[in-house]
Amino acid sequence: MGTVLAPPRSKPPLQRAPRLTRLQRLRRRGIESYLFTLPVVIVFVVLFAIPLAQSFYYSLTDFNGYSTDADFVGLANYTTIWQDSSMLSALGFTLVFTVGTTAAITALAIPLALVLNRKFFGRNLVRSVFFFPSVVSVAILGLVWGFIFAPLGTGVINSIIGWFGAEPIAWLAEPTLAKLSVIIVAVWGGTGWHAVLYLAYLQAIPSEFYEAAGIDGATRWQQFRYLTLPLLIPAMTVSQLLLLTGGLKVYDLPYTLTGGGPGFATRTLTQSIIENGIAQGEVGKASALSVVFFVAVGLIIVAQLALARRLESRFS
Amino acid sequence: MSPSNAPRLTRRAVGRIAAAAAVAAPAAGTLAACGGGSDPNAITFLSWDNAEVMGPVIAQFEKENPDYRVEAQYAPPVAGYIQKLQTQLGSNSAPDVFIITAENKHQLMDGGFVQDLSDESWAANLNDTAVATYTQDGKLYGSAISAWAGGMVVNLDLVPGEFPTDWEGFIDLCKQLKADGTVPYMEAVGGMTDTFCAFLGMQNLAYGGTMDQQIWDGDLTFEEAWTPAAQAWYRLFEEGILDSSAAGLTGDLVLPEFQQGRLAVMTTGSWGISGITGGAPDLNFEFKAVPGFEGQPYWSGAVSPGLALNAKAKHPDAAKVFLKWMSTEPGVSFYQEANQFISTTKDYEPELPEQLGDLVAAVQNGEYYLPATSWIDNNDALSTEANALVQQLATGEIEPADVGKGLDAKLASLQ
Repeated sequence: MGTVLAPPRSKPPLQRAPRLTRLQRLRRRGIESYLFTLPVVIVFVVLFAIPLAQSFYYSLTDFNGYSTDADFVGLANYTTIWQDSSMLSALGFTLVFTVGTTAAITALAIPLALVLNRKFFGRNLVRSVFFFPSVVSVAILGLVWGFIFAPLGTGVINSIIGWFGAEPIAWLAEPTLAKLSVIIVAVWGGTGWHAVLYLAYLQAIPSEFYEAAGIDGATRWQQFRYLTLPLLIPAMTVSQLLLLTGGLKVYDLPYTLTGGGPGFATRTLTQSIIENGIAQGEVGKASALSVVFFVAVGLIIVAQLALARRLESRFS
Repeated sequence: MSPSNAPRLTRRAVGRIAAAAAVAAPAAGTLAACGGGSDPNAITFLSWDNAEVMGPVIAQFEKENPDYRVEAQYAPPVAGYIQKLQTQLGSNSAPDVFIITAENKHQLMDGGFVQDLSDESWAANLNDTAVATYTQDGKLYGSAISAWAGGMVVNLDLVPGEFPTDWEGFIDLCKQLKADGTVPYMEAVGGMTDTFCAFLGMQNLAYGGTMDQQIWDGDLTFEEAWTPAAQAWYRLFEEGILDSSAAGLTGDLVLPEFQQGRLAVMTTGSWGISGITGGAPDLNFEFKAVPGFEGQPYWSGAVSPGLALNAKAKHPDAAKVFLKWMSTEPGVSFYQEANQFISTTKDYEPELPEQLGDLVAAVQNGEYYLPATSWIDNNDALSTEANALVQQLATGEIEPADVGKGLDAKLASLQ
């Protein structure tokens, strides 16, 4: 009996798909998915896109926050902000604060997370202690540390160094020391929180990796350098993104600790924007600063993410 | 109706209801925020004092005026208050009565946001300095019922003799105290201090009381007017009475030193007396005017924020009843007794602590000066700059003449 061969398959003739209305296309894609994103889109538009567009518009006017008839002034506000020494000082300190806190917290949080990941008696208590500073309001931290850094001999730190015969130090009165003091408090308050973030990533690394590395003869340092650190790159990306954005926007801690002083030493960009825009009635100028600030933050974040991606691909 | 019989909502009906709710919710919120509504005797009020301070005062007003009720909102001074008021004025939802102060008076008066109160019967009850502070082009835009002054607070046990009235005498006194092992003087240099402002007040007198007007008219510069005062103040640092750590001090750090008898002289405002007596009820102290570097001793100080009537007040008649009560004896006496400020209205003589000494008469006679409230415009921008410059002078970053130069540059950039 001969084999009956199946007829060769041929492509079915192309049929023009019926033209769908926009609603039908939406339904086909699943209208629910669009509806679920709607609240977020509304929040984004109302609380971000519209205020951003308004800020850009105000930055081109002499709007003072009260009178509704503001005049168009072109780019005059953008020129003015670069002529104001206090603004430049604020920009400088904001960058120093951001870079300083990001570097210091990253350098301290990773070793701290490694320690907290080990098994030891009272581990949960120690984790809570390190996490605690991030729970307290930053404004309260600023006030409390104001007493700790008090320039009088009765200040907490000056009392301690006084036991060793040293003279009181004017922590918050000398510009460089004041900047350093603000960064120290920010690092103290943020290290525990970021250590917990790294801890979460550390706990996701399978223990078999370390067992295999140990069998291959890798030392503790080699395990950290070639196993732990590469696997922590995604955590570093998240942590540093938060630190960079938080650092660039910082306001409450320097304000409560030093009020932006002495002089303009610890003034931040956000403080300048708030003071110009609200108290001084220069909404146009403050809006111009906000727009420049927004663009600068965006560029820094894009650069940071690009760098993080390169690092991830290099270590993966 | 049983559930099975209930009409079933179609998808379109659900969509319509959701859309209506989305529109109605913010609208309802806005209306609720406006308050006052249709009740002509409801007065909306944005308070600068918190509810703890202002709540009993409002309750007393409503008790004495049972036909009226006050719907109060609260916002803390200064930036938070101004931001809230700005937003409300911009959205045409500002309350009937709100606070006018040095930081916003020019915007409010120039923008036509406040009503002229000159013709109100009770306006004559206000102190002349208070009237001048909130008057523009002959129209009164705020009712300020109190003022404050600041100067030196002296521990009379550590400084038993006559307190000097001239600056050289004060410097000598501090040197003597220091040589005897007593901390003579502390000043929290968070910006322009009471001493610095009092010196500027002395300069203002030397220029016939029109120093700031002359600066704004271009007949005088900050450098010319301020440098003698800055030089006199800087002598505290040159003579070793203060050092740069003063720029890191706050009033909260200095106060315990004074309360515990470790400090002979400090500075504060009249409002600080309850803080001193609260922690040291038996301390023997008295307020003294800042010794004069040229001429008579003087005080720093300013008229307190005033109550203003919204130009678009929904219930202006009711609001005027509230303003009258707050600006005359019944309201002033209750507010004064509750909060221990120095009232300056003509129909009420407050009972005040004897430690205030000559300060009370100075307040009631308007013998005080504060740059931030005396400047012609851009008060807050200049104040921020001046505070930073004075701190820089304290830390030795700049010279006394640079304070005035910096303000001249700032004023030029603002104009």
